Order: sequence, then C-alpha cells, then structure tokens
Amino acid sequence: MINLLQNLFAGISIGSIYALIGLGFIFTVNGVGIINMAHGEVVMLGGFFAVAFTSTLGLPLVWGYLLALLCTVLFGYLLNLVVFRPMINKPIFTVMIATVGLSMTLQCVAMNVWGAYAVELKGPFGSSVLNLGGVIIPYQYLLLIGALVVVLILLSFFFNRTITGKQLRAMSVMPDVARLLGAPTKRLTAITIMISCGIAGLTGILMGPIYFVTYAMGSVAIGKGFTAIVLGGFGKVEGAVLGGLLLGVIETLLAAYVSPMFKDGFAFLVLVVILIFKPKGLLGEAVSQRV
Amino acid sequence: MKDKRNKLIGYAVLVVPLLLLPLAVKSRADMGLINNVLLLYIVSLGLNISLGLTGMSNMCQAAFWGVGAYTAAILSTRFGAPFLLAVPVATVVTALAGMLLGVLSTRIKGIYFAILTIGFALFFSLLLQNWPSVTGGGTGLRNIGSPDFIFFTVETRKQLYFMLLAFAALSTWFYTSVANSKYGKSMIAIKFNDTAAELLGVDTVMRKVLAMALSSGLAGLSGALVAYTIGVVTPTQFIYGAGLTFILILILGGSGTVLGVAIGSVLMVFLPEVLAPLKFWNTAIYGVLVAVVIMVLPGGLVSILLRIPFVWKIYTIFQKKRDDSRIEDLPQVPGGQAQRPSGQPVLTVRNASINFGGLAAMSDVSLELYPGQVHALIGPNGAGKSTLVNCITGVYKPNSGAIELDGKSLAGLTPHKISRLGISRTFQNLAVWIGLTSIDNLLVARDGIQKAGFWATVFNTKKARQEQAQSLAAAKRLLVSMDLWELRDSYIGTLPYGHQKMLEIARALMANPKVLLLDEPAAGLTAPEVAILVKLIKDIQASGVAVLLIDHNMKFVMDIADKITVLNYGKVLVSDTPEVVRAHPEVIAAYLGSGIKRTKGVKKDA
Repeated sequence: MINLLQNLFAGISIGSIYALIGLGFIFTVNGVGIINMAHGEVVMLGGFFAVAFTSTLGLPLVWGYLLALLCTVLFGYLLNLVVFRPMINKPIFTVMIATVGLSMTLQCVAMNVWGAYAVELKGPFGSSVLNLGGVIIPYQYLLLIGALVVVLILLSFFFNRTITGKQLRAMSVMPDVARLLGAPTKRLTAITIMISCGIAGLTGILMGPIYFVTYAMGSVAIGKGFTAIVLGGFGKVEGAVLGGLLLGVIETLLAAYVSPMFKDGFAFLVLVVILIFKPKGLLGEAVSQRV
Repeated sequence: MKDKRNKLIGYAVLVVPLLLLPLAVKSRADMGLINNVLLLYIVSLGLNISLGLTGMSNMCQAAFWGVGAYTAAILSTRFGAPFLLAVPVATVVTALAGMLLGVLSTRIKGIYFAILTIGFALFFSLLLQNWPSVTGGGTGLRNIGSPDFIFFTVETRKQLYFMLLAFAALSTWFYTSVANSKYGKSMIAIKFNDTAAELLGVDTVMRKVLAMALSSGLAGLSGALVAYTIGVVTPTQFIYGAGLTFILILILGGSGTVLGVAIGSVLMVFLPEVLAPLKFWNTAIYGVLVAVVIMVLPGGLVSILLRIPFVWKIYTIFQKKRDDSRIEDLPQVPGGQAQRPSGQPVLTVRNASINFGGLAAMSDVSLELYPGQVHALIGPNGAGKSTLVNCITGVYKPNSGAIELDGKSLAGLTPHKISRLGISRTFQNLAVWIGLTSIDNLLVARDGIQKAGFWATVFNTKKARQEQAQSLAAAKRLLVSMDLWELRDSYIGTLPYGHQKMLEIARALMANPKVLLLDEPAAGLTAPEVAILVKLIKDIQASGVAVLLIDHNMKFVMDIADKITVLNYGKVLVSDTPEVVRAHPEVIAAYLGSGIKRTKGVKKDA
C-alpha cells in the first residue's frame, strides 16, 4: 500500500513536469498557431542558464533561478524576432520544420558550450525529504507540483482578468478579426512566445535537480510533452495538464510493476490503446465535420 | 517519332553518368557513401507515397526500414535463406506491417497518427534492444553474407553499386507508375480532401492502407538491401529519430518529384561530409540550413535546379505532353446509367429523422426523386437541407426512417459504396482537390468505374489502358461540352471561383450518376454564370438524371425546379410545384418573407 502511494506520488510529481512541458508547448499552438519543435531545447536552455548562474558564477540559488528564467523569456523574444516574425504567413507545417532545424542547431550549440556530459543543477532542498507515515516525498517533488499549480493560477488570472490575456484569446479564435478590431497581433505573438519560453525555462530549472541537465534533454522533453498533449486532447490546456499527470503516473506504475526497460514503449502502447477508443484524446470532443 | 528520340536522349543523359560513376570514384569510402545515397533514395521514394502523395503524417519510416533489414538478417543468419528469397520476403513482411498501421490511420488522423507512428518506432527500437534471442540485442546481427544471384555473387562495393542502382531504377519505375495512375491521383485527392474523395467513390480506407503498404514495402526493400550491403544490422541504425531523416530528405530536396527525392538523398549523405571540417559544429550549421531552406525555398532545392535551362529541358522530356487530340478521335464511352422513362422514383427517402444530441436536425422527412426531374430543397439556414443530403450520401446515419435507391436500402453502406451505386454530389463549401489539375479532378471521380486492380494498373495491362482511355475520353467530352476544355491542365486551385464550381459539377457527373445532389451550386456565382448553370442543369435533367437542388437564389430555383420541398426546423413544410409553394402562406412567413404578417406559431428564423 505504502509502495503504491509512493509510486503514485512520484508519478504525479513527474507528471507535473510533463504537464508543464505540454502546457508551454500548447501555448503557442493555441495562441498563434505555431508548433514549436524547439520547445524542448528551450527547456534545456533554462536548465543550463540556471547552472551557469548558480554553479559557474556562484550566485545565490534564488537569484540564479530568476535570472535564468529572465534569460529564457528574452530568448523567446529573440526567437520571435529571428524565426517566427519573418515566417508570419507561412503554412503551419513549414514553420514546424524550421523549428526542427532550430532544435538541431540549439542542441549542437549547447553541446559545444556546456559539453556532452550531464551537468548537475543544485536544487533548493538538496536531498531532504518529507516522511509522511512511511511515504517518502522529496521536497523537490512538492516544488514541482506547487509550480504547476502556481503556473495554472497565474495563467487563468492572465486570460480572464487582463486585457492582454483577453486579446490573446480573441486572437486565438479569429486572428484576422482581432487584428482588424485593433488587437496588436504582432506584439501579442511576441508575448505568447515569450510566455511559452518562460514556462519552458521554468520547467528546465525544476527538472535540473532531478534529471541533471544535458544537451540532449530537449528531445526527451518534447517527446513527453507531445505525448501528454495527445493523451489529454490536442489544443486544450486542461488536456495537456491531465495528459501530463496521467502519463507520469502510467509510466511510474509500469516501471515499478511491469518492466523498467520497456517503460517508454509501454507508455506509448497505453497511448495507442486510448487513441483507438478516443481518437481525439481523453478531453477531445468528436467534432462532427461540416460537409 | 521526335518524342521517342527525345526520350532516348533524356534517358541517356540520366543513365550514362550513373553507369560511369564508379570509374570516377577512387576511394572505397566514397563508394560506400554513394551506395548509401541509393539506399536512402529507395526509402524516401516510399515515404513520398504515404507522406508526399497521401499526406499521412508517417513518422516511422525508419522503423519500417528496420523491419525490412532485421527480417532479411534473421532469415539469412538464422534460417540460411538465400538473398533472392530473403529480400522479397522482407519486403512483403514490411508491407504487411505498414498495412496494420494503415488500418489504424483511418481511425486516428493527423497529428494523432503522427504520435501513433512515433510510438510504433520507439517501441520497435526498444524491441530490437531488449529481445536479444531474436534480434541479437545491442550488438545486432552479423555475417549476413553477400547478395547471391545464383550465377554470380556481388562482393565489392562497386558491384554492390550496380545492384543497388538496378533496384533504385526498379523502385523509380514502380513509384512513377503508381503516382501517375488513378491510385496516385486518388491519393493526392485524399490528401487535399478525403471526405470529398470518399463521397465521390474512392475507397479512402483501402487507399490509405494501400499507401502505407507501398510506402513501407519500399522501406522494407531498402532495409533488406542495407542488411546485405553493410553486412551488419544494429538497433542504432533504425532508432526512431532516424524517421526524421527521411522527412528532411523530402523537404530539402522537394517532395512530389522523383528528382527532388534524389537530390534530397544526395544532400543527406554528402552534406554532413562537406560540413565535417567544422567538427562538432556541423549539426548546428546543418540545422540552420534546414531552417533556411524551408523558409526561403518551400519547394525544396529541386525548384532551384529546375531553373537551369538544361535541367528543365531534360525534365520536360519526361513530363506528360499537353493533350491536343480532337474530340472526334476519342473512343466511345459506354453510356451512362441514367436514361429511363420516369414513373418509378429512383431515390426514396421515407420518414427519415436524425438527432444531434438533443437537437432534432431532421424529423420525419420524406422525399421522392424521379429520373429527369429537378427537385429543389429550400428552407432557412439550419433547416436541415445539407443534413438530408449528408444522410442520403452516407455521411450521417439517420436514427430512423429509410433511404432507398431503386428500391434497395442504402442503410449501413459507406459513402463510397453509395456513390458507386449512382449518387453523386457537389458541396456547399467547394470541395475540389486543389493539388490536382482540372482534368485529374474529373478522372479521380471515375475511380469506382475503373475496375482494373492495383497490379493491372501498375503493369498497365490492356484492360487498364482501355479503361483509362475511356475515362479520359469521358472527361474530355464533358469539358468540351461545358466549354471548360481550355482549363484542363490548370491546377484547379488557381482558377476563379465560378470555374471551380462548374468543374465541381463536372466532377460529380463523371461517375454517370442516377442521382445528382447539388448543394448550393449558384451561391457566389455572377448572373451570367447562373445563366450557364441553368442551361447545364437543364441538360443534365434531359439526360435522365434525377437532380436534387439546394439553393437560396429563389429566382433560380423557381425557374428550374419541377417540384419544391420546403424544410423548416427539420420538418417538411410543404412539397409541391413551384406555383403552389410560392403562394403558400407558411412558406412566405418562414422563408420568402414579404409584407404579409407572420403567421402565428411560426417563429422568425435567425
């Protein structure tokens, strides 16, 4: 029983990471119709920036983390300027392939700057744990879940209470109409990408102490995030969160009770089975097509 | 005659350098790279069928490559199977694996299919790693042997080159035969609008399964050849990330043309070699190149190459010539199914009802269509007109009621079967296949009539050729009679709206329908175009086809209809001749709108 609870909790914590990745990824898809395959590399950059500020420059953890977060947001601004702005009216698939190229480049650059080996990022709690009647919970895991909750609350506030958030929602439904009615779509696009990169950076900073930071972590991250999104239902924030948490739990339980070697493969099999019965993901509605 | 000579020159320009290439290559390493190009070329050609032609987001071509390689390797090392047996078996096994995913693709679409295929690829590479008793685990399988052709054995890399070149040529022939046949064209139709393809008689489910089978079959062939060329298979060769390689080949080179695939394969092998002096930075430059190419040249590098006059000249030799044959020379087409004296209704709808959730979109609708009669269906937006058309064509299944064609029930039939029985349609929101030319749009709609099977079509048997000629003749006659002949080779997406609408009607007529359903044909047309449309519909009517016409242009409807059914809130308000309908008070209130006060009980429509 304790064992099961332990695994469930670990699953939810890991799932929070997947949910955050999915969330950041789906943010640009929903908002401005950009499928950013380099999203995982921004996660990686978040991790490396944090390493650079804390370990290399020796800043206090909080400041190092905040600076790293700021850097990923700025990186988002740059990304928009160099890649997405020039491709503003290109088909979605074209932009996606360009970001595939981008992700290769970023991985290679990171490998040259930070080396091919895993680097450790210091966490705020070290390896201290909370013992809840036999269930052992690392504080870092609690931080992950807390971060997901905070991000969700902030996003909900942003979309429901601020003008910019409402404009973004309008733009995601009908970009042309929003533009004609005076929504600054170029600025909104920049903001969307910056927020998405910020979430990615945060994910990287939180993942670092658990998984180490490597130049190749982006590919794994995007794979998990993508799976989470599809599992939950493409195009939905709730879907990304539910899918992420579920994927984390499924993986952890499969690794614990079936076979750790086939963990990833079985997770995909579960996904395939779910898709066969719910072809649009768990929260996706079957949209009857208009003919 | 001149054509033939040109083609000969064209082949010579292509083939001779390829045959002489080994003479120019000094190092063994370079020869190996060139052989890699040929292997990648075959896999990418396959991917071009599923991803390029059919538009399926197939991300696991590398896994199929691996299935072929491992099948051949296992057959050779564990069962001692000879090359000439192992390669065909590997190809077939891989094609079957592809069919399996193809079946799933009909339920799981788009981005979901992409993730499904990524999952398959991932699972496959895990299987290779963790099932050592069969796959040899992380070290893979060795000592696969050399290709043995009974009379001689292929040993050196130069000999391998000629063997691979032959297989590449075979694959190219196969690919072009498929792409230029009705199969290839209907695959393109599926890519641009699979609902329309299904409703015009293409069995989209089987066509997608076929596309996956062919696509993975070529991957399996190349995989088996990889096993024999390199002599070793290991899991890392086929990790799921490699699936991206083939997609990049299509994008860099330019998908859709054989030349583009060839260029992409060359680039994929030699670009890393060229960038090798950059050492650890080469992937970075490579990634930037990918991004720049897709940003600046969405058509791939082939689009630059074709701007060179010499290349263009050679390229055009292999292109289909513009068809200028006169209409008198055309073979006779066996007549349509339509001509029959009226009396019996051809299509009967009896008490059909359908609900979407709690909303009754259509309740108790009955309707009879007679040959040679234009039956109009009018009503406010949301009255259930398109819903009725969708029920007749099998897009929706009615909750109750019966729909019969010639007294036979259509219940439970898939849309393409219903279409093949003789019900054809156009669409409210234009659904032409914009990636095809006008005449190809028409030809795809003959899919149900051309009975020749896949292999007969690929090998171009006499029967297949005859059917092809008949379809072409039917399309030509139709285009000439509708004054659209000049547009035959234009891509339909580039044409004005009015022409697209006319071509859509022509496409619906291609399958010799008994019943034609026109969903708002006059919407968006100019007055002169409506006049042409009226004449066209009268001609269709005169040929004995039963026409069901939905439109909001009242003058047009009143002019042309023999009978009018008015729908409101999913119910039949009245069904009678235009004169009676025009005078009917409820119709005026619900729909036509005039100075008369609204009748009690009929709410104003939004």
